[in-house]
Amino acid sequence: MKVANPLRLSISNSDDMSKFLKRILIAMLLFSALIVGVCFLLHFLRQKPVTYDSECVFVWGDSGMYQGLDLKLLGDKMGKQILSAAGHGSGIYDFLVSQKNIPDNAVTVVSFSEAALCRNPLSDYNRKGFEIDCLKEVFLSGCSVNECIRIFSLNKKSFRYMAFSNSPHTMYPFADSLVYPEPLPLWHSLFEEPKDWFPWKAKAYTKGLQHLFDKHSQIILVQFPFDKQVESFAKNSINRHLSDSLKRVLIDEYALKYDSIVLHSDSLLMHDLSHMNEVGARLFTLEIAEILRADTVNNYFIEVMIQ
Amino acid sequence: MNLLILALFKYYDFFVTEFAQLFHISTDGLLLKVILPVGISFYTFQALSYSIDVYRGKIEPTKDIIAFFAFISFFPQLVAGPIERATNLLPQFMKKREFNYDTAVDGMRQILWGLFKKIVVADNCAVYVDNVFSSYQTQSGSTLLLAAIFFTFQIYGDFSGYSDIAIGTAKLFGIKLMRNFNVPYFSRDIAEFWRRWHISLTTWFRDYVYIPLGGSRVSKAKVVRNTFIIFLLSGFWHGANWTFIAWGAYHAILFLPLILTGKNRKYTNQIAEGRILPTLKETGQMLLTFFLAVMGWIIFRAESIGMAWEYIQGMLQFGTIKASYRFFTWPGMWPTNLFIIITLLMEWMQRGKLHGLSIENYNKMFRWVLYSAIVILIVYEGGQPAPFVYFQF
Repeated sequence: MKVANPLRLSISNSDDMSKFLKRILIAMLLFSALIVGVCFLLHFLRQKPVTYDSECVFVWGDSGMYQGLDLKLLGDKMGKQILSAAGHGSGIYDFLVSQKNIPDNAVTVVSFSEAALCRNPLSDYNRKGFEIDCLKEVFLSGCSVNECIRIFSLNKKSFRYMAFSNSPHTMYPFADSLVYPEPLPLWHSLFEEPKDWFPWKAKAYTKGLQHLFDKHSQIILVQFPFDKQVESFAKNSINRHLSDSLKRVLIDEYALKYDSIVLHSDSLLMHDLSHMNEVGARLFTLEIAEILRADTVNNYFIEVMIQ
Repeated sequence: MNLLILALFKYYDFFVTEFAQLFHISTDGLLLKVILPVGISFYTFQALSYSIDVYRGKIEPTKDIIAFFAFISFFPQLVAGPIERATNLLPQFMKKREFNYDTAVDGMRQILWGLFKKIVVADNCAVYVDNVFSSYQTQSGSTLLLAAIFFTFQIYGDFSGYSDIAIGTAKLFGIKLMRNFNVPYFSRDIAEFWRRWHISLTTWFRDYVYIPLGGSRVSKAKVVRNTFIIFLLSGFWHGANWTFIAWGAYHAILFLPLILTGKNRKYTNQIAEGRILPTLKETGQMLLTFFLAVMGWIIFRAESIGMAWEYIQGMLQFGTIKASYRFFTWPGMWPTNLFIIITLLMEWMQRGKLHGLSIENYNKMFRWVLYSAIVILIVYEGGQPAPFVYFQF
């Protein structure tokens, strides 16, 4: 048997090949146009705005905020409805989508989360719905194409979505000792290794805040505490340095009033290394309710500490 | 040598653990704990087919090392089949291949259909299946039954989808791979099911194990032995777990009455040939065979024999309508049901053809509308990306 190069496909019929390639190219262009077209169509179908009452208090954050704020207690203390878009793993894209739904002149409590800024975007649970504008914002901030495709793919089925809900957060119960859902070395790597995505996340986060300022919202930025085991190495880490810089920029640029809430208790207030338990959440909620009731004008940066 | 490599990587730890448990000895320092190379069962069997065919004189030993390794490692089917025979694939690498427009277009259609089955059907089913199988103790009987049916379609969409992608890709290179699935869920009995499911593996066992053992032309006792051997081997081929062996044994038990009564080749033609719809009898036969396959897939999917037994017990108790209503009202449930129906309808209409999207004779406009609809469904309705189930084998 005559041996031919097994890796070579003969193109003696080159007309066939060029016809095939041309048609494949045309098909790819047509399908791409179709996909983009459907994407825009869905986007416009979603344009029917979900309107919220500006008298409500709006909350956004990742798990720190979700576990750290008792919505029912805050609502009772303020006599207002509290709507929350906080959730475990919420990323910066979710923040952009959520802030878009906040009406003008509303009170907004937003998490300043080092974890959300440092966390790998692949671990962000960005599922608040598909918004072309927000995807564009994260892309222009420097988010990679891959991550944008991932966000698109996570949200492509969200025809209609509700960014905010008044369902109460499920608090972590009190316990005598910390639980360790994530090992300590994971937190080491989160803080101590430089993150390529930090700059674009910080930029997109700042843009989101800018939109809220443009809507004349009263903004309360809240930084939740870590357990002292994490703090011991986080305080001198590269990423703490970066987040502190961002914090200073935000405070200066938006003239935020810096305040700290120091929580005292004989009981353990943390559930794990990065989330408060229900006792800590209740104490914090009472404090923030006081601030919100006393001052309805100024914007704040509040750092929560545990003593 | 081929089998030794497979045994070391895939079965060594299993046998050591089982022996250690049997004789109450420690496995410390005895286990290899190596990561299983992707697709090892597939290319090992392919390499074996070459050695056996050369030994039997069916093909000449090749001196062309590039052709040989191209045969062993041809990328579209390397990790999950179809398991090719040296007699079919090797000569194709040694002769001049010409690009053929119609074959390439058909290959693209087959790839598209494979992607649909994997991304739209299998990945969407997987969400519910994983959910129910991971909490089967708390689910109602009807929910367990529905999840088992979903797994039946998940594994079909996943594996036949991969095969379609592999065969379609090979067509672009002018290589013709063997068919691996032929609408198995339209089978009228278990024997027909096995002629239509994972054809490359079943024919491999038939040609290299069953027939050399005497096949069905021996005494009835030996027929029973041979049948059990190939089904148990087929189960064990999937992995070192008792569930796969039990799955093989289950199918052997279903197959035996047919072969012993000489009815195993009763249905060799296509169902409802020349008709649009099946007869009532054929429908009943299909449903019964499908149900038997579903029961088998529960054993296959379970993590242990105990779990499979508890799952089937729970399923046969039947739960409240409310519980199954909840299953149907899970977000995304109805679209997934619709995708399964679309797949069944397409494959029913194309059952005499090589794949579900063999629509070259249809109107051009219809074809392009269908392609567009499938692309849109793949992009917008695909489930959570998950690796192919058969990559683990």
